[in-house]
Amino acid sequence: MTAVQLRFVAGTLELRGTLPEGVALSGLATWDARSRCHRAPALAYAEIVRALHRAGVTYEDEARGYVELERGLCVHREPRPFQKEALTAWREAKGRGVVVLPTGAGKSHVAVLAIDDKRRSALVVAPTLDLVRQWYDLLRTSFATEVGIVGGGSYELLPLTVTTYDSACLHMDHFGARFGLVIFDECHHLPGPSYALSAELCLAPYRLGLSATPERSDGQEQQLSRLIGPVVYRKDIVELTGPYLAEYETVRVEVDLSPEERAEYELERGIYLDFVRSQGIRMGSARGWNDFIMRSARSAAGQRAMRAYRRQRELSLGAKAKLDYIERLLEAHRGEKALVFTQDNATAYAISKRFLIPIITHQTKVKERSEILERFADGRYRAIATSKVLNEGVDVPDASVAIVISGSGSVREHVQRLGRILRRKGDKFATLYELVSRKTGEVFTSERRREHAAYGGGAP
Amino acid sequence: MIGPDLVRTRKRKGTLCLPAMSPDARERARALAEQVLAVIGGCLGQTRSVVEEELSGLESTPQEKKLLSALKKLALDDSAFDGNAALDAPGLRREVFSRAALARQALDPGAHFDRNAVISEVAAELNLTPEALESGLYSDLRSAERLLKAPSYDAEGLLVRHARAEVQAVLLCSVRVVALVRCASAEQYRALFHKLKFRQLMFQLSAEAGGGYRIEIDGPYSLFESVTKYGLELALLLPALESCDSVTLNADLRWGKKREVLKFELELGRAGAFEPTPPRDEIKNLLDAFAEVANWRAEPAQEVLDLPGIGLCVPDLCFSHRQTGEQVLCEVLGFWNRDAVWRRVELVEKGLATKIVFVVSARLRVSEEVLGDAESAALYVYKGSINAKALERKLDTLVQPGRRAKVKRS
Repeated sequence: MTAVQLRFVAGTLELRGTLPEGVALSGLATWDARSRCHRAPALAYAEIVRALHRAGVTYEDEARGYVELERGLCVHREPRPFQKEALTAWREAKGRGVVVLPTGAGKSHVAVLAIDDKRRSALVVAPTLDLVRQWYDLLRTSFATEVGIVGGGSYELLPLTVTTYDSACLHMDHFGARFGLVIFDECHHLPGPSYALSAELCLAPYRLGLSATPERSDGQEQQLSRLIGPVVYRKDIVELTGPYLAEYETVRVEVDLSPEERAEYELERGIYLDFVRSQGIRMGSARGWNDFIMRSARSAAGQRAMRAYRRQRELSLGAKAKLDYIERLLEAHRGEKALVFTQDNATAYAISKRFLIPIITHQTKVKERSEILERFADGRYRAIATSKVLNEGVDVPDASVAIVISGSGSVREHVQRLGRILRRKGDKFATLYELVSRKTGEVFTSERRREHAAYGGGAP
Repeated sequence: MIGPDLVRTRKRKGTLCLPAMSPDARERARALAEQVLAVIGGCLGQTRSVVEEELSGLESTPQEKKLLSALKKLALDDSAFDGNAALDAPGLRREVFSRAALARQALDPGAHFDRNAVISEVAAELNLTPEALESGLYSDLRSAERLLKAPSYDAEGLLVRHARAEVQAVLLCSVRVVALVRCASAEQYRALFHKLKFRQLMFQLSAEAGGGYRIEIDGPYSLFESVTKYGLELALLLPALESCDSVTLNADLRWGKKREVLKFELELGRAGAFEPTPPRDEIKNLLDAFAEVANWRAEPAQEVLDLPGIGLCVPDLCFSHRQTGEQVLCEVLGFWNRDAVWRRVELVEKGLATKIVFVVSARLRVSEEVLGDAESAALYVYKGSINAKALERKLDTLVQPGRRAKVKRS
């Protein structure tokens, strides 16, 4: 006789029926007076099933909605030694854990091997539509089967499906029971109130996280252990450079503002700094930026200071000399493929318009993105301008030049941008140029983002 | 809708308030609303970037900044824009960028890329002027969309929308809402409960001593953590709550980036006459089908069935026997919620005496036998669509004497 029924309801597990004497699910499930049953987050599915098994409780599992894949890998590529090690480590951790490998080292191949190993319906969650497209192509080719997509206007669920973090967050309570394995690509995005919920509402017993840089500025990476599993394997960029990643150099180029730009920069920066000093705001402190935002909203002088802050930043990030220098770099590397990164969309469009190179931003539709990347891959395009959407994961194997016109102070962003050109191909040598306006606040921003071993800076 | 960052709020003893406007502030808000609508109205045919630039020229005091931003957002959301479809912008870009890549590849050492030559060359091939090509190159961007229609309401209308948008923006950050609701008619309750079901929110109802109901609303996962995941659904529920005669709303919030724990209280009352929503398709079909049935007449039900301490249900239809006048109520539960069926079964078990048929989809995997022996209630489980004949048979069974008041649980 069935003692307990398990059901997946809106990202939670309902347990109905009477548990035999002595069997407790304390810590896993809670009594829900609203529906008069026990309820648990879907994340607890594997543990609950194990607990019921251990106790010898008969249960009817209506929750599990995933299936075994009809076929495994159709394209067999010999994994590199570190990929094999990563898979073994993940398998030994009961199929729950995070693999940390540098960009270009082939994290996605580890994921493909994991899907083949478990042969359960699998959901890949990626941060951008470009990555969704890329995973879609990879899974379709590797498993010779149709692959579903949820996001970017599509909603098709198949045993192998790819989605974005945003769509997972919206829909996991509907389809969270349909996958036995969930793969969080660039999993450092997962911690945080909204995205983390998508892992809670999914019952997949097997979980794999992939990242080059799991650390977060808010320290929330510790949540990954609960949501996915512990870090089971890690190799850093310096360990793999040479055999598996392209050799590279980073070149910082300092440019001068024009006299007009300098005069305006000093004027606006003066207004901004006067306000900050008059208010006693310490911009270097943890609360500095928040204080500035709050106080600038309270008075006309504050609002003017905010405008001044934005303008001086705009002048330093988009200095005319930087744009002039791009032309020089594009001509110097005309035989190579280049990615031009900016901090904002407006500058990316200005570069696209001035140098007549294709642009990919969040406004670029999927079809045009695919076409641009395809033409870039086959050499019809030699350069792409972008703001942030190509920072992560997108596979552009031949790109060997990255030109960073502007960016944030984020170490992760800067390492990810470098990673875009490191995928090894033949004896490729990669170069990252970072253009910085001399004697402006941007110099400090640049120093902050270079604090990584990849730039000869701080910890990896 | 606007985001919480555009709401004018005040915090007092753990409670978030939406400060009422003084007559002067109200007058000033009306002036700002008029300016926003005038700017948008004067920009017909212009691109979105021009409209936004014109709007950015409107001035306000620091205290009015959020109000002005919110008014702009709402008015722009209610405007109609159209993409510039005259030119195939992606096609133009493909041509221009491909030609530019070739030109750059073909450069001799020391030679420089001639941008204007590429533009002129491609423009000539496409029978366009260089200027037309330049202006069409990125004409499919959102910023290049052209304004076709400005909002149709006046400043007062914009302020009414703004007031609702502020409440909705607060509710976006809510983790749980308790509403004390009073309605004059069952139709109003039904409309509200249908909205609650439609939004797939979990709710617990209890009758208030002085009339009306207390409704606690959240979502399944709320049991484990106070999450704002259901905030959007709660915000979208607001118009349904506004249709009730009076509502006292208490919300638990996680406010701002720091997710500060705050309370929010609001009194709502219906402004105009209640406008009943048209019946759902399956109800309308039943009303039509029973117009042809000899023994039974169907009409929308007006009752709310309440079993104190146990729960309640709001039937959809009331069937009256044409000869005896005997009445049987009917609630169509459909296929979305198996729990709802078990709650109805519990109502019957605990003594619901009114004759009623619950109509349930076979997809919920509930047997009619569950209420097979109940005297006052029956389950009609349908496959595919509801069959009026089968429902009629259930109604006939319920008015036959001799049914035992016993319920089977599977």
